Amino acid sequence: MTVVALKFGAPEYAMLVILGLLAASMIGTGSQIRSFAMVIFGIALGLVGADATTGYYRFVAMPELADGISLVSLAMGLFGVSEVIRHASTRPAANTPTLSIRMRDVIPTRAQAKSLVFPIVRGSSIGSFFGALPGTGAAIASFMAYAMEKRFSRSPEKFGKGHLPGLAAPESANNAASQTGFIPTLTLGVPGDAVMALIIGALILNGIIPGPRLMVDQPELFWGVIASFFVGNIILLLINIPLIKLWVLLLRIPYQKLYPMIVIMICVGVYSHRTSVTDVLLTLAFGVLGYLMKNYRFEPAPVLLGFVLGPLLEDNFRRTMLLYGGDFTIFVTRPISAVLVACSAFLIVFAIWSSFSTRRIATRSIG
Amino acid sequence: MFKKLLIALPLAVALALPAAAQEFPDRALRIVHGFGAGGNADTVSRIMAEEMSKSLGQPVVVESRPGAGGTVASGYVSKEDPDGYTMQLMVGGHAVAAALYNSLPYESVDGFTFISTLGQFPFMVAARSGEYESIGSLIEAAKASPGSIKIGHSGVGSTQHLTGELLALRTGAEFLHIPYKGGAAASTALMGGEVDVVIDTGTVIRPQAEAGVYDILAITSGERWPDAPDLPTVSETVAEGFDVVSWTGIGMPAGVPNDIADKIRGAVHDALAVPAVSDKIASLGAKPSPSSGADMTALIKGQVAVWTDVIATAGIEKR
Repeated sequence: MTVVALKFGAPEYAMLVILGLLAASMIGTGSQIRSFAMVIFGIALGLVGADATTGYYRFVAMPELADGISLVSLAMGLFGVSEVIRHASTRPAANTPTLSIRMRDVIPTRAQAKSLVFPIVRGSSIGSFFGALPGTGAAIASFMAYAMEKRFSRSPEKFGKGHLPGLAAPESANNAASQTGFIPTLTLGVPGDAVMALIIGALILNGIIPGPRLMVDQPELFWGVIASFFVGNIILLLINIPLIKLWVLLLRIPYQKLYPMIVIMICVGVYSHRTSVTDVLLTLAFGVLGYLMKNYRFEPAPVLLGFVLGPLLEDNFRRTMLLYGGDFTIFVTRPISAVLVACSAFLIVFAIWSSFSTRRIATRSIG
Repeated sequence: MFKKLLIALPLAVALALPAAAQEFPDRALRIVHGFGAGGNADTVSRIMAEEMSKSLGQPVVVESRPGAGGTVASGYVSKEDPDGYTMQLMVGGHAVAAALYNSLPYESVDGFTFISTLGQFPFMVAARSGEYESIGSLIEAAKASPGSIKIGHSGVGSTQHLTGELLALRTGAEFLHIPYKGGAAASTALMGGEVDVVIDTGTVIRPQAEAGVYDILAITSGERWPDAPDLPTVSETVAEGFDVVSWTGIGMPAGVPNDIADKIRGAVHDALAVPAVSDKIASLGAKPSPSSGADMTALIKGQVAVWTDVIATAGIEKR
């Protein structure tokens, strides 16, 4: 795993992101062209901030934007605040009738469990892969798993409405990615994402410097961390199972009381992320934008993917050009990169082919 | 309303009186820094805050205001009240920013009361194990085919980047400088063979060197480093007079009264004298370096001059 991670250079990352973006434009329940437009919009938002290759400031209207728009602001605005506005602008619906949840309801039925095996396997494998790659992490893994699952699903129209495979796949990916994220952290001393950086910081604070020697020099720490994965997950389960009843009670809180609380929580959360008021204001602005987008049937998820993947693509593409003197053939002469290019090509062909074949079926059924 | 005021006024006076009589500090202090949680700046801030709160008898709170290479935090601190309750944990980037940015919302030297440096640390020039015999052979190879040897650095305008540029300027060798997002990413690229050299701090380089993955070719400080006396310096091998050390230090807004600045300096020096603190700073690759305010000011002034020169000669885009 570590060896593969090291073989992933700039060209591989660039091609991986292209593959991700192609998959991304297939998420969303609306039309392909709309979700493609939203991916592009996300990429455009990702341009804000210092250009990583030259350090040139792009669209930096105020110094707080020098490091770009915060992902937290964008996500909280588009997904959180916009929902609140949407609900506030419609007539308050009657609250969901109180469900009395019994222990039996929590356990999935046999049919449900069966339908979830493959989504979980697929989600976990995607998550394990992205988690181990430094610089990607759990967020990207979840989105990729969601996009992938939707492709595989026989009922993609149910996605986004609590469809079980659509929940299971990204959640498995998220869990898998947060565990495999420890691989580069503990074996190379290279943090894959912000959370891992925080963990390295905590280790250093205690006088332990993670690196290739960690496994040999501090076996009790290394295996302690591994053991903590198991213990942690079991405890999570033990805490949450009795609390499910409590979480369900949240549905009984009247919306007019729940929503202001949500907005306050979002503002506090966003502020504490970078202690920046600009971020909070941006979140609210993105909330309004997200509301308008939903009204005009534009999906927010592709925006987020474009936002995360766009800068990654630009960085790695330009780095490749810098490293290999502007030689485009590098993308197909390196084996891993070539495989990724082939996958992307396959996806494009598949998309075109499937759009043709569905049209043919449609005409046939009319005829 | 008036009645309420009548009650409130004497109460306020009564509350204010003992406070005024009390000695500095009579409430919580804070250490602001401009980087993310969990980074080196955050770690050092927390180590210092914990120890200083013991000697000052008041809580010391760490506050992160990340953004634009720490300049957001510097801009914020320089405009705060110089009452002694706001400190900033500064890093070498403070001097770089003064040279790199076209306009900053603060004066890099005159806008602050510098208290003391905390730790100084050199950078290390590293290559994959066995690639180059010495720094001399690296420079020779770079001169033999200009622009073919790639140095990975932790970001355009980082001290690491500028150190690489300075190495090129002083030796006359030509390198291809490749930007990464952070030292860890640059180090991964070196391991994977994407770049040939990485210049970064001991925390990034040394674990790999100890595991036999990297060779440390040279160290960037003017003299040999006490912590690693076997490592040759760049100055004694390929570029005489080459001296780059980065630092962490404590600054405050300009205009802090001398007695308060001295008290804070005393607390900083006391904290650095505690073995647990100096050990932790050493484990981050730095040499604990309590200093006077004047020494810290001189250090920063000198570095601003060097980096201004490097940025102009290397043609790095100003911001």
